[in-house]
Amino acid sequence: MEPSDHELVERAIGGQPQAFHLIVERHAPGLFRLACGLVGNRADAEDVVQETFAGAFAALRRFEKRSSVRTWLGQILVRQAAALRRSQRVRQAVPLRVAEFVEAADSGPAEHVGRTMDLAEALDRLSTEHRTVLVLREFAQMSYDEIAEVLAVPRGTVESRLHRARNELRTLLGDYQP
Amino acid sequence: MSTQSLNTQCPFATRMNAYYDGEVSAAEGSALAAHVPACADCLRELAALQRLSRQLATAAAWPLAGQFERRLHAQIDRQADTGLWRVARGFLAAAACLFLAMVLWVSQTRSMASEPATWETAAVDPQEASAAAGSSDVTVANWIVQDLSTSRAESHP
Repeated sequence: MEPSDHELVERAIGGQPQAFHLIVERHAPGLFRLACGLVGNRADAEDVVQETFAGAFAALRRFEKRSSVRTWLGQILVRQAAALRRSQRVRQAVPLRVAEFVEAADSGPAEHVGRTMDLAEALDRLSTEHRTVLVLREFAQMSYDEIAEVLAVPRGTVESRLHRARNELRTLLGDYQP
Repeated sequence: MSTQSLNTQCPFATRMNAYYDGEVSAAEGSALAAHVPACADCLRELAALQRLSRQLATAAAWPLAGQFERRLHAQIDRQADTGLWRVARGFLAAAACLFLAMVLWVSQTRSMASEPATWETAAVDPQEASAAAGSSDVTVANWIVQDLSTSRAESHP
C-alpha cells in the first residue's frame, strides 16, 4: 500500500529525505498547473513551485497535520505567487505571456487558439482575489473547504468570491446572453 | 456588472455555482435536481459554467518539464545534505566539548590522586616541609610535629 502524505512527512522529518521526493512527485504537476494559472508563465511558475517545495522542506517540522499536505503546499504556493506578482508590479509589471499560455493548450483550430488567448488575458485582468479562487477551483480542483483553508477565509467567502470571479471572467470573455 | 446569472429571474440561479461544483447539502441538492430540468435560466447557467470549466481545463494543461522535475529533486537533495551536515556539525561540536571536558577532568583527578597534600608530606618528612616553608599547610604540619614531639618528651622524660 502506498504511504499517505502524512506518513511521508513523518519519514522525512525522521531523517529520510527520499520520502519528500515522493511528495514532490505526487504534488509537483498539480502545483505547477496552479502556479501557471496564478502567475501566467512557465518560468515564473517554475520558480514559484521550486520556492514552494524548498520552503515546505525547510518547514517540515512546523507542519500541523490538521490539514492535508496538498492544502499546506497550496497555501505556501499562493503566498509565493502573490509575493512574485507584488515584486513584478514593483518592477513595472511583467505582462502575462499569452503565447506560452496558448502553447501549453492543445494545438487546435485557430478559433480555439484565439479563445485560449482571450482566456489568458481575461484571467490576467481579474483581481488577485478572484483569479486565485478561480484557479484553485478550476486548475487544482480544490473543494470549497480546501480553498477556504488555503486562503484562510470562511467557506461562504469562497463561494461568493468564486461566483463573482466566474461572472467577471464570463463578462470579460463575452460569454453571457442577457 | 452584467452577467447571465445576475440577469436571470430565477431565485435559484445564484446557487448554480455551488450546485455545479457539488458543494450543496444533500437536501438542497435534491431540491435543485428537481428544479433545474424545468428551469431554462438555471439550465443556461449550468451550461455556461460547464463551458467555462472546459475552457479553463484546456488552459490548465501545462505539462511539467522533465528537466524541471529533476531540478526539484536535486534541490531537495541539496537541502537534505545541508541539513545533515548541519546536524553532523552540531554532534561533532558537542562531542569535542565533551571530550575536552573529560580530558580536563581526568587530568585534574589524576594530579589530585598522585600528589599528596602538602601538609601530609610535611608531617611525614619535616625536611621536605621546611623546603616548602611558607605554605600554611606546612605551618600546620610543623605544629603537629612539634606538638607530638613535646608530648612524647613529657611522657618519657
